[in-house]
Amino acid sequence: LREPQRQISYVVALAWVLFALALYGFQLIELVGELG
Amino acid sequence: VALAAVTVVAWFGLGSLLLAALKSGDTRLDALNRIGAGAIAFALLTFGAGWAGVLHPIVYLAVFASAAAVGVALGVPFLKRARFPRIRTWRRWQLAVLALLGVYVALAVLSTCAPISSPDALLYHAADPALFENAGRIVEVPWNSSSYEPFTVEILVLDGFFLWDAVQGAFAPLLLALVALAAVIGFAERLAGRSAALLAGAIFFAQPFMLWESTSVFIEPGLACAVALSAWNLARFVRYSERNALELAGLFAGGAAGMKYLGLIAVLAIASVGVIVAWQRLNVRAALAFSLPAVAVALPWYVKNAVLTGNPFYPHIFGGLNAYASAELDRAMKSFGHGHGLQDFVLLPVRLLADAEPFDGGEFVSPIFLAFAPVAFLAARDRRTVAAVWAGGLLYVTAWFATTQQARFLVPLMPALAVLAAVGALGLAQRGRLGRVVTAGAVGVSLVVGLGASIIYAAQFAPVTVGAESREAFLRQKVSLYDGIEWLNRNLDPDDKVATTAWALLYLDVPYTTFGTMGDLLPPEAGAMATRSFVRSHGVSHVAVLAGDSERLRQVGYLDARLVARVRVKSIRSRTRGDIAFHQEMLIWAVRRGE
Repeated sequence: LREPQRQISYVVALAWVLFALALYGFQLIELVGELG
Repeated sequence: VALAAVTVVAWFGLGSLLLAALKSGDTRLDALNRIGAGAIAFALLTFGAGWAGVLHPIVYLAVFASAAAVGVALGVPFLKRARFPRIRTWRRWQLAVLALLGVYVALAVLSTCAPISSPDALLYHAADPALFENAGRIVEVPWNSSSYEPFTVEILVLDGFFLWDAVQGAFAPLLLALVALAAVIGFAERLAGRSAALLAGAIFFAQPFMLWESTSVFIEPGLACAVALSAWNLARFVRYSERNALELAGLFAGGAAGMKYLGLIAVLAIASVGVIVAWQRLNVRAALAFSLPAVAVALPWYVKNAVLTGNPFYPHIFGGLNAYASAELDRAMKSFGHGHGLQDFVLLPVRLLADAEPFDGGEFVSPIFLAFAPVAFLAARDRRTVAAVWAGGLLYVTAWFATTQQARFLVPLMPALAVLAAVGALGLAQRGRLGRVVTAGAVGVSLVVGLGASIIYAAQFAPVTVGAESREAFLRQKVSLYDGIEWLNRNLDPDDKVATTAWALLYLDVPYTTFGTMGDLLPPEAGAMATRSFVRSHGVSHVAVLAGDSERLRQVGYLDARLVARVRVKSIRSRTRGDIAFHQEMLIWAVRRGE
């Protein structure tokens, strides 16, 4: 990929991972409550 | 544990004999191919002997010992040639991941050594092998439609019964999970080096979901093993055009189809990926090289069903159950997940990450799969292959979504997703400081949270495994209606036969039948004539049902039966949390013979 495309894909990947983590946060709160 | 290790050697020995003409160019894959093929061969041999009515522990032990001897003879030179990694040169995080995998293997062994307490295992994954062992042959189990699924893993559990006992049988799925782990690590290393290999292994195995899966006598670890070996062999065909590799990919695809109907969907996904990535080399010979071994390995299970029921896929596709059992099965399959509409399909990734409990244990699946597997598009050099693997995965998920949305049934996808996620995570970490921080944080948090949940899960088995808790006390605490089962074992004779609705059939030592669990026996709405005919044809001497089961109590009313016991029992909702669903009485009736 050319550099601008590389940058865009990097930002998109970072955004997706952070979004996925945020979503998992909801799961985590429930999980901790359940196991606690 | 030692016998489980010898089992792997025996699988390796038998597999080596069978694959003498089908060697792989990759030594590590070759070793795993032999182990996997040996396991499938043991299952098919036991299956054949079972239907021929010649199942005998002595015969099995003779074959097992011979195969183990061959395994030792061929395995020692194999090990001498093998190059072991020099872990002194490894980086700290790599050592930490290796140690984590070691902890998970120890937790898995600890949990598997406890008496079997998983409900599905008590109902059929281990209960049916116990029946086969007692009968000296494989018998039809009409009360549970799940027993018509291809049964390769259950037959390996039966082999464990012959070797020692039920717990030995429970090691078979764990061994298959460990072979799958070795395949994930080996394949990822060939593809992207040691870091990717360790990370892929941890993503696949170091999660509470896989710990539960591999220690509960479930079938999916076997499916993951077969799929991983098939995929690795397919990759070798694509890269090096090894004809052997294509045949081996077919053999393990067939192995998956011989473990559970779900394996058929996995075969479809594997074949689709193969067609996409190697379409220029596709011809009739290649198609036959893949499909002939696949069909040969899977066919016996489908022929058996065709002979017994007239439907090779019984009770699916062409049906065959009575209306009640069919509706019960359909309701059970549809009861998982958030819904079956287009909107639900689109929201699937979000729900699998944020609200996965309705997928039956989905909250214990590692989030790393979904967070990083898509990132492989960014990192991998060969995006076309990544796209092909995703296409196969999407096909599988679509079928999963349309049939039954249980997180367990996503396990066959996990080897491929783990490799993609590892490649994606490392690619993102190498792109910049922020990428490194986010990746290390996300993977670290997920692994730590997963380890915490896994320790809580495994801790419940520690006292009984180390001998600090008695087997009886453990079972009373973990197995639904166990007090009722114990009463029946104490008070009924070997020539009695009980009809029950209890699930813990593995621990029922007296002859039994059930009224049907999604099986074709006595529907709850059946009237007096059908009930009396059921009792007569099955030679039932006792009936054991819960006091709250009004429909079965009505049917007992049609019989000349007297109440002989009321046993207070409890139903377990969660073994790990110690949650009790309800306390009730189990009512036990003696039926006048000749009824």
